[in-house]
Amino acid sequence: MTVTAILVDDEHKSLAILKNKLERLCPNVTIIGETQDPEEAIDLITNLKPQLVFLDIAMPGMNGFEVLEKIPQPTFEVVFVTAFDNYGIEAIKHCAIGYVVKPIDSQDLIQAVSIATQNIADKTALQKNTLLIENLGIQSFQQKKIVIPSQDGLEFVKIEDIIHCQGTDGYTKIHFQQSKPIMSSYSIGHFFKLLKSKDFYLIHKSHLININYILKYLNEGYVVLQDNHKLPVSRNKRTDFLNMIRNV
Amino acid sequence: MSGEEKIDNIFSEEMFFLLSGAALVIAVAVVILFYVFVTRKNKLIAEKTMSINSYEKKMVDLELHALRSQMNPHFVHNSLNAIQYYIQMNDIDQSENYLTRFSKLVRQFFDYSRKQLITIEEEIDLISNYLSLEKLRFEDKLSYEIVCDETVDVEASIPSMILQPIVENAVNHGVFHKKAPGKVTVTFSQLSNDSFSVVVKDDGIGIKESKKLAKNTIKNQESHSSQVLDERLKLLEQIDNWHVEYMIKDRSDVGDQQGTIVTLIFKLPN
Repeated sequence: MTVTAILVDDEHKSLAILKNKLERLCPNVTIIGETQDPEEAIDLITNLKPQLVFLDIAMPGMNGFEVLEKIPQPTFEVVFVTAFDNYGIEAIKHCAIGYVVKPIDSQDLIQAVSIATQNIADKTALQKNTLLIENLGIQSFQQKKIVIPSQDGLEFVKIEDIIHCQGTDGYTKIHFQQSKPIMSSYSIGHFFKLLKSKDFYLIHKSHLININYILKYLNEGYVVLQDNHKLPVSRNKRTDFLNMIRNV
Repeated sequence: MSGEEKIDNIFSEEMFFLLSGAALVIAVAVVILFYVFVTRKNKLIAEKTMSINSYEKKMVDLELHALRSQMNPHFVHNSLNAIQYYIQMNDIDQSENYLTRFSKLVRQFFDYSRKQLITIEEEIDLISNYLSLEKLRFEDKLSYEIVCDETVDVEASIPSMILQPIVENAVNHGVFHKKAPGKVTVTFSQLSNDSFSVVVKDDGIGIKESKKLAKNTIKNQESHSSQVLDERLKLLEQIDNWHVEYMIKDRSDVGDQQGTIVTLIFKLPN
């Protein structure tokens, strides 16, 4: 499927690198515009309505997130391009939005473009972009939402509502306080990285729990959560786990 | 006879109990005293080793922090990104030039972060190497000048790892956000026999505007590096008697120009 794209980066070198790589490696991408000026990017994107935007994060005067925020209907897929920004990347991952880091690795770029191309058909970009902007305005980690791709489409869940994640054969079942569990085709490792914070603890290779929902700890090495699930704590994690709980 | 013996016996028995009782009390007292002494001694030793350990730990922490504040990931990845550009353009000379300069700077970062003091000459070399790399990235958008007064003894010492992060702030927070080209000037001047100053001046957007922008972006790296700087200056004063004054001003507050001026005054230990 052919995809129209706009490239935004304040450095002409970075634009040239990206353009060169896209032309060589991603023949389905048609570049319809490029700019070094974040202000101009807003007009360009609004007028040309591309399907995909490659967006640098650190730019003079206005960063990539602010550019996205200023576009009235961001219905396009975004692939963020960044030299380094820990926090930014975390926020992007929470929303299942694509990104590549500089210097750009060819395989990473091919993968990001192929995922974005598939996503265009699903028309979920607007939801994900809106969520990213919402999340960036929220300080508390627990109050943020994450995107979980499931069989039915995208699920948007608040982090504080997750009680625990259970890994089974490469899939993950996510349990909530109110609603029914969701099955995700991502492994538990994906959620471990996504939810990395003081609130979540991997008590076992297939159990990631939100420590705010612990009801009790049983001496034989189990935790009981508020949804009455009794889950084992790996032998080698018990000491660390108990120390962590005492410090909370 | 037998009565006297009895009395004698009773007397000696009494004496025996009394003496052994006293001996017991003394023994217990000695044991207690000994115990108190030993525990107190151990405690003192423990405290002393602790303070040495925590001091050393603090030094190592600061060293790491300083290295980290110099080896700013943004700078590292942007430099590598620029090298990728010249490779793609098939510009072998420029790729090699950039790569070897970058490598030289990384080597300096590693070397100097282990030392407390370097010579002013080494510092100037590091700053000029750093700025020349940023110049390759920013091209016409950045110009720079390093001025060293003739009266400055370039063989004299300067505490390491203080200046470069400040110069980097001038580039990344001052000049970066400016639409027009910007300039960074670093000036070394001798003030008296035992003090000299370093002034880092830029004509960028100024610290007030830069702080406003930083509020919008999520993480404020500048505040982190200035915290590391504060701690380092404090430690220098405590341990090596270096007195370093640090002043940062928005140029719009002191004149009609825009930009930021950072002044450092180094006073040598006596």
